[in-house]
Amino acid sequence: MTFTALAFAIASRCGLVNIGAEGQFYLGGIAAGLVAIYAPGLGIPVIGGAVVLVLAIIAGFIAGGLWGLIAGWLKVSFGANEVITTVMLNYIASFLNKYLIGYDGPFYDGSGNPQSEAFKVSFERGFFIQNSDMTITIVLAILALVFYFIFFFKMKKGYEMRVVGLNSTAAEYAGIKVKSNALLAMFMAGGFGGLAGVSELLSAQSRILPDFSSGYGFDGVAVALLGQLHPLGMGLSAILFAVLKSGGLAMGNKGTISPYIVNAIQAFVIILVVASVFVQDEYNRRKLIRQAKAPKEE
Amino acid sequence: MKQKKGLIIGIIVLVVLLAVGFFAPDNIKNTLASFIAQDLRIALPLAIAAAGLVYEQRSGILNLGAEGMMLTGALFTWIGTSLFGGNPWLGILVGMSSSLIMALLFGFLVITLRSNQTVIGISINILALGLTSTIYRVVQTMNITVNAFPSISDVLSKIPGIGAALTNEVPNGTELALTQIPVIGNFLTTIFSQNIMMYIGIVFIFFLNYVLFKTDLGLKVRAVGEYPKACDTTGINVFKIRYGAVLFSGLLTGFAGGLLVLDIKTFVENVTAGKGFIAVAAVIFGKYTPIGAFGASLVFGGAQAIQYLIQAVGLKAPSDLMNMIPYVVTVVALAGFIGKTHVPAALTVPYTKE
Repeated sequence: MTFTALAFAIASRCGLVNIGAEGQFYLGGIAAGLVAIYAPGLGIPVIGGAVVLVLAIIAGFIAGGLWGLIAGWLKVSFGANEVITTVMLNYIASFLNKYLIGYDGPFYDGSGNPQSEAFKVSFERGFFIQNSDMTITIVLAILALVFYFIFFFKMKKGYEMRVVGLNSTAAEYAGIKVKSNALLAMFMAGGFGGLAGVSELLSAQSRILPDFSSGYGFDGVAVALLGQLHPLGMGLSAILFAVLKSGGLAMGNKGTISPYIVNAIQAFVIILVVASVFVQDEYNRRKLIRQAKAPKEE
Repeated sequence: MKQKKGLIIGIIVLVVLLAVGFFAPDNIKNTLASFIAQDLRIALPLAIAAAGLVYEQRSGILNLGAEGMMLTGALFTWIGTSLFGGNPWLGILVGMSSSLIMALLFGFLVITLRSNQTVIGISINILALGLTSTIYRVVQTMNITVNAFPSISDVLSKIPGIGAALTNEVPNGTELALTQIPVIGNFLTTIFSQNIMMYIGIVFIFFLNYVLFKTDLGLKVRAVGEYPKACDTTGINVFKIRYGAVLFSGLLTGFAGGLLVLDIKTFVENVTAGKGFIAVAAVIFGKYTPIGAFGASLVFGGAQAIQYLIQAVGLKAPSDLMNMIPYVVTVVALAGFIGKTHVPAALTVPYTKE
């Protein structure tokens, strides 16, 4: 969730709305999954699986990034609304995944169910806390947040991107390349969306299945908005929503309550957060008006 | 000029279709006729939703929550229809009122509170997905009967006087008297045997086009989307027009969602599957006019109907790849045709009264 939140946040910082994390999640997951299935057989040295896992992470990042780059390219070259294209790409990615592991697909395992072969390597569970489902990906998530902070607030490139996001016309005049920044932002955003897929698939699942994302892409949007695009805020809100989500799934297993109720709660949270901006704005505006009127009254 | 180009394309398509209807061998004729009928059925909900969205976007509001409003309309049409003993007319009214409530929420947030339209649109979708799926789990055990709208031939046959001349009695109902036309009769019958809503819908779309471009109200809507400040000084209430457009569009998106449910006669979670977004794309592809959006919907509907065509001619292709086609076509259409049209200048810009 932290990763998909980053996928949304990075693009947002550059003034783009990336709700394609779901599709990037699939692509990243597929790429990493294929590495985890087939790479050990290709004679790549398995040192406790570490090399393969690193390869899987890289493959996932690149695959997700390229998927994000499609929407970015359509945006900068043709001006296609990235919200619609990323949503369409989400559906395309989901069907692509179903095809690849389906009965006619190249990675079908022949078992009678649409699924791939089992992963040869995956992240070890029980990391940090014994007997938990936690894996080393939690460290990756924290590293990713740190990277996000350093990149956007300490590096020149990140600064340029923020300028583009705040005012692309001004950025253009200042000599910042708007298009290449947007493309880079979408690639990085997609890459982190891909990492989300890697971490879900190689931590929590044992093979590629149809619809292996349970709406992580949209969770990311909620997390990023609640965290106000701030790394610390996003980390905390990711934890909040993760608790909500696993609670929702548990409720879904127990009774008639749908796990989807969590989506509704998320939506209310986003709406309230976004609407709260108005209160702030209105307060400032009235204050200005009062200040402007004050001297005349005296 | 742009309008004329669309008209020319439309006429060429019609001429080609008629030529096929007259001269092609029977099996090609039948396949094509059922493809067109299928295309129309898929396109109608898209076109209705898109027509509402045209008004909304022309008034300066980009509603990316259309998907969610459609989904809400779909669920409540389904529930409403079964509450009223399968009556589709009352059912779709229930669906429309539910999406009206969503539109009211959306309008309040983006017009009065001036929130970011894109973000609010997305959260409306998440909200709708969450709510409809939750409610669906609760009500899915209900005993549901959904009746479709009456077919055009059933309606025509009931008109006193001319009804008998326009339709034929057949064993299980009625059919259009078009079958009696030589050579092309069956071809036309397959295409025109739609339910009554198809005809009402298409007439309504043309009516909406007329209102938008030939009446005062339409001019006001378009002006508000271009330069709200100027409108305000001439006494047009920007907020009123924008609320009107949002609520009207909410009604129509809910109606479109209802049509989806009444077409397949059941509800499944996330039944809209991106159709709301495709409708938004149809608005852009259709150059922000209701008729243009209808043409765009026919293209997108065709992209979906083509899977049936491919099955009909006996080609084998993985269904998952076939399912991708409408989404791919939408992306391509967005990329290829955008930028050549005039986008309303105040689109997504909230209006603050000074």
